[in-house]
Amino acid sequence: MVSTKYFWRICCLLPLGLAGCTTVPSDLGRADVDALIAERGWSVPTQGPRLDALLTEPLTPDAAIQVVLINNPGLQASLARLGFGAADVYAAGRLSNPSFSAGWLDSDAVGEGTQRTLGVALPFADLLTLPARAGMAKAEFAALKSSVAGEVIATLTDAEIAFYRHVADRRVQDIRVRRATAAALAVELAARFHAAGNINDRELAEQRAAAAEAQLERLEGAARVQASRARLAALLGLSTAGGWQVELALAAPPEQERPLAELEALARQQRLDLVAARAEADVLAQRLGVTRWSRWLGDIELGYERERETDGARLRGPTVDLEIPLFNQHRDDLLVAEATLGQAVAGLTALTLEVENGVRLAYAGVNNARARVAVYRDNLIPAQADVVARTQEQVNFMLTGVFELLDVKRDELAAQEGYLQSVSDYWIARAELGRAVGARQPAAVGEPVEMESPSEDAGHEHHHNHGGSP
Amino acid sequence: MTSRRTFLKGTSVGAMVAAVGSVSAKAQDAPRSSAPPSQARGYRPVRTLNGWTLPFVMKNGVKEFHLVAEEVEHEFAPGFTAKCWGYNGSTPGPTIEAIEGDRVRILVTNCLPEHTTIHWHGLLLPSGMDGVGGLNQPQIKPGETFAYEFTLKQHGSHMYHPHADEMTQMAVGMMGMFIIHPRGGETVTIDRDYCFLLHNWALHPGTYRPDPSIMQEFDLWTFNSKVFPAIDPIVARSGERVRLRIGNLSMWNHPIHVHGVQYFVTGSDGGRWPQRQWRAETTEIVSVGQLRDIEFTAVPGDWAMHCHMAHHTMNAMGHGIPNTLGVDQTGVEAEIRKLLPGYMAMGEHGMAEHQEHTDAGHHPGPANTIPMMTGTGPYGNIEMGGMFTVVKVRNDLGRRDYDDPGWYDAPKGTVARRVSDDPDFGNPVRKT
Ligand SMILES: [Cu+2]
Repeated sequence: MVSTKYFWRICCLLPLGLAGCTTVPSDLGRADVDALIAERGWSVPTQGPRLDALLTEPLTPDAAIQVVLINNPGLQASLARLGFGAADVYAAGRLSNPSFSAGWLDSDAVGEGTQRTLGVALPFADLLTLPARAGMAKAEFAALKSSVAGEVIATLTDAEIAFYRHVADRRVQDIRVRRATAAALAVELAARFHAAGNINDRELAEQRAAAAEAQLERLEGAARVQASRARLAALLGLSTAGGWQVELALAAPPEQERPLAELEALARQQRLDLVAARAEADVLAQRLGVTRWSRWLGDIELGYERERETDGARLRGPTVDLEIPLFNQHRDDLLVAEATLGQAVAGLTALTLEVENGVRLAYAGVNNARARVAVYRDNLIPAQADVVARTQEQVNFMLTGVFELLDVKRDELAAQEGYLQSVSDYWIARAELGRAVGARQPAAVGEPVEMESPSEDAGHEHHHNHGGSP
Repeated sequence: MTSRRTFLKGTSVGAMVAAVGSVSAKAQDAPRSSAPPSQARGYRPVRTLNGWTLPFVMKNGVKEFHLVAEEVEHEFAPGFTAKCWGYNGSTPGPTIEAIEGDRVRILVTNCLPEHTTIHWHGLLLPSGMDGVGGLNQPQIKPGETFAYEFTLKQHGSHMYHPHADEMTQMAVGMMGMFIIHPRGGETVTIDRDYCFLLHNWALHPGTYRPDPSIMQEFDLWTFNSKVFPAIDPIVARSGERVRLRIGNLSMWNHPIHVHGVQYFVTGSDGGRWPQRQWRAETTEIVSVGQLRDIEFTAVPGDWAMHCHMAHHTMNAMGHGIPNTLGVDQTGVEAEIRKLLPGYMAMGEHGMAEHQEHTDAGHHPGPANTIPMMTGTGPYGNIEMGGMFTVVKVRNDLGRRDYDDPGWYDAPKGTVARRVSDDPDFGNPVRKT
C-alpha cells in the first residue's frame, strides 16, 4: 500500500509538470507554416501591401502570388486545418479527469447507521503514457504544418502556372488578331482583283474561306483568353468582372539551369509532402514503441477512499484497479501499430521514388521547353522573317504576287505565336520544376520577348556567299 | 586554274594550254569587241558577240585547237553571276574558226566533275569523230584529254556542244560556234560578220547555278550567254553588208527580228543557200538546234534587234503571278503596309512603272537577280532585257571600228514628236 502522502504527490505534481510541454501556440502554428513557405522561396507578406493597392497596377507574377496569399479562399480552408492539429495537441497533453465516487448505504441491522463512502480515482495508465502521447502529438502537429504549407505552395504554383497560361493566351491572341487582319486584307485585295476582272470566282472564294478560318481561329483564341482569365481569377480570389490586369511581359529563359543533382538533393530536403511523410513515419514508430510496453498496462486506476462504516468506524486509504492481462494482452493494438508503421514506411519509399523521378521529368520538361525556345529564337523566327523579307524582294521585282506575300506573313505570325507559346511553356515547366523540387525556382530576370515586325528593317543586306571566282 | 595547271604539268600540251589560258584570261578582262578583226589569215574573221575566237597552233599542217571543258563563273550582266559550265573560261566557249579544206585537230581536256564529249553540230566528218558518247566514242572522263581530228569538207556556220549528259551540260552553258570560211573567199563580200548563240537558262531569281531540271519555264534568254543591256551592239557603217550567224542551242524557237531593214536569209547550218533560195524577211524563226545566216545592208540609225517572243526580251520575271493590271489598291495598300512596311502596290496601270522602281533601287529585289526591264536610251527607259540588242549604224565609222558609237543623233525632223497632251485631241475615227 502506498502511503497517503506519496499518493497525493503523484496525483498533483505529475500532471502539472507535464502540462508545461503541451501548450498550444496562440497562432495555431501559422507562423511556422509561413516560415516553411518562405524557406521554399515564396515571399510571404508579413506586413504586406493591401489587396486594393496590389490591384491598381497590372499584376506581375510576384504580385499575383501576393494576391493569392491574401485572397485565395482555398488557402483559408487549408490554414483552418491547423486548428484540428492544435486540438489534438491540446488533447494529448491532458490527463483524463479524475473520477469521484460517493455512496450512502443503510444497514438493516438494528442500531447500525449508514455506511458512507467517498472516493476519488485517477486513471494511472494515462498518466504513464502522457509524455509519449504529448511528444507524438507535437510531431503530428509538425507534420500537419508541413502538409498545410505544402497545400499552400501547391496553390501558389497553380496560380503561377495559371498566370503564365493567361499571359501566353493574351500574347498569342494579339498575334491571331494580326493574322486575321492579314487574311481580311487578302480578301479585300481579292475583291479588288475580282472587280478588275483579274481573278475568278473560285480564287475569290478561296480567299474568303481562308479569311473566315482566320476569324474562327481568332474567336477561339478569344475564348481561350476568357477561360484562362477565369482560372486565374479563381486562384486570385477575384471576380472575372473586375478591372484587374496582368503584366504581359514574358521574359526570355535565363542563361543556365541549376544542375540536376543539386535539384534532386534540394527535393529530398524541401519537398513538404516528403517532410510530412517522414515525420508521420517517425510518429508511428514512436507510437509502436509506446504500444509495446503500454499494452501490458491495460487500465490502471489509482484511487483514495474514505469510508465511515455503519458502526461509525472510519476507514481510509488508497485503492488500485489493475487489469490482469490474462486473456487479452492487447496484441491487437501492437499489430495495428506495426501495420500502420509498415504502411507509412512503404508510402514514404514510394513517395521518395516519385519525387526523384518527378524532379527528373520536370527538369527534362524545362530543358525541352528551353530547347524549343532556342529553336524558335535562333532558327524559326529569323528564318520566317527572312522568308517574308525575301518574298518582299520578289514582289518588288514582280516575281511573285501580293497574296503570297500575305501568306508568308501569316506563316511568320504563326511562328511568332509558337515562339511565345514556347516561352510561356518554359515558365510553366519551370513552375512545375519548382513543384517537383518543393521550392520555387529563383525567377531569373531575362530580356522580355518582344515580337516586333522584323520585315520592317529586312531586305537590304545581300546575303549568301556564292563561292569563289573561277 | 591552279588545279588544272598542276594536272597538266609536265605533259607536252601543258605549255600550250597555259598559253591558251592566258589568252582567255586576257579576253575576259578586255572589252573584246574593241579589237578589230584582221584579214591577215586570208579571211575576214567573225566577231563573236561578247565572245572570242580560239587561237590555234599549226602542227605539221594541222590546225590544232585545245578546248578545256570546265566550270566557269559567268556574268550574265554586271553584278549578276552564276556557276556555269563552258570551255576555256567562258560560256559560250570560244568560237573555232578555220577554212574549208583545213585539217583540224581539236584537243578536248575534261576538267568537269563528270564525263563529256563534243559533238560538231552540222559538220561532215567520220562517224567516229561525231562525238555522241557511247555511240561514236567512249566518253571523255574527268581529267582525260581526247583528240578529234578531221578535214573540213564544207564551209558555213556551225556549232559545237556536248553529247554526253547533254541535258545537264547544255543547260549550264556548254556550247560554242564553229565557223568555216570558204576556201575561195565569199561570193558576196561581207563587211561585218557577227555570230552568236541563242540560249535559255533556268537561273531562278536569287540562285547562283542554272537548274537543268527545267524544261520550259526559263528565267533568262540570252545572246551568247548575256542579257540586255550587257549584250554588245552590232556596229556597222552605213551601206556595209552585215551578216549575222545565229545558232540556237536553247530549248525554244526564237523569231529573230531586225528593225529598219529587210534582210535576206542566206544560209543555215546546212550551208550557204544558192542565191535563188535567199528569202527576204524581217523576222526569221531560228528553231531549236538550227542556225540561220541573215544578211543586210546597213542603214544609218539605232535599230532594235531582238527575239519577237515578248517575254524573251525580259529578264527575271514572275510566271503566272496575280495580274495587277487595272486593280485599284487604294486604302488596302496602306493597311498592308502596317503589316508589311515594304509593300508597294505595282502594276495597276501596266508594268512600265516597274523599271522606275527597280532603277531607283529603293525596293530591292532578290540577290543576284537582274530586274525584269532595264536599259535607258536617249529618250527614256528602253524597258527590255534578255534577247535584245541594238544595231548601230553610222555614216562616219571607220572600216574596222567596232566600238559602241553611242546613241544615234537623228537628223532634224526624223524623230516622232509630241503634238498635243490633250487626250481629247483631234477627231480619231473609232469603231462604233
Ligand atoms: Cu525567243
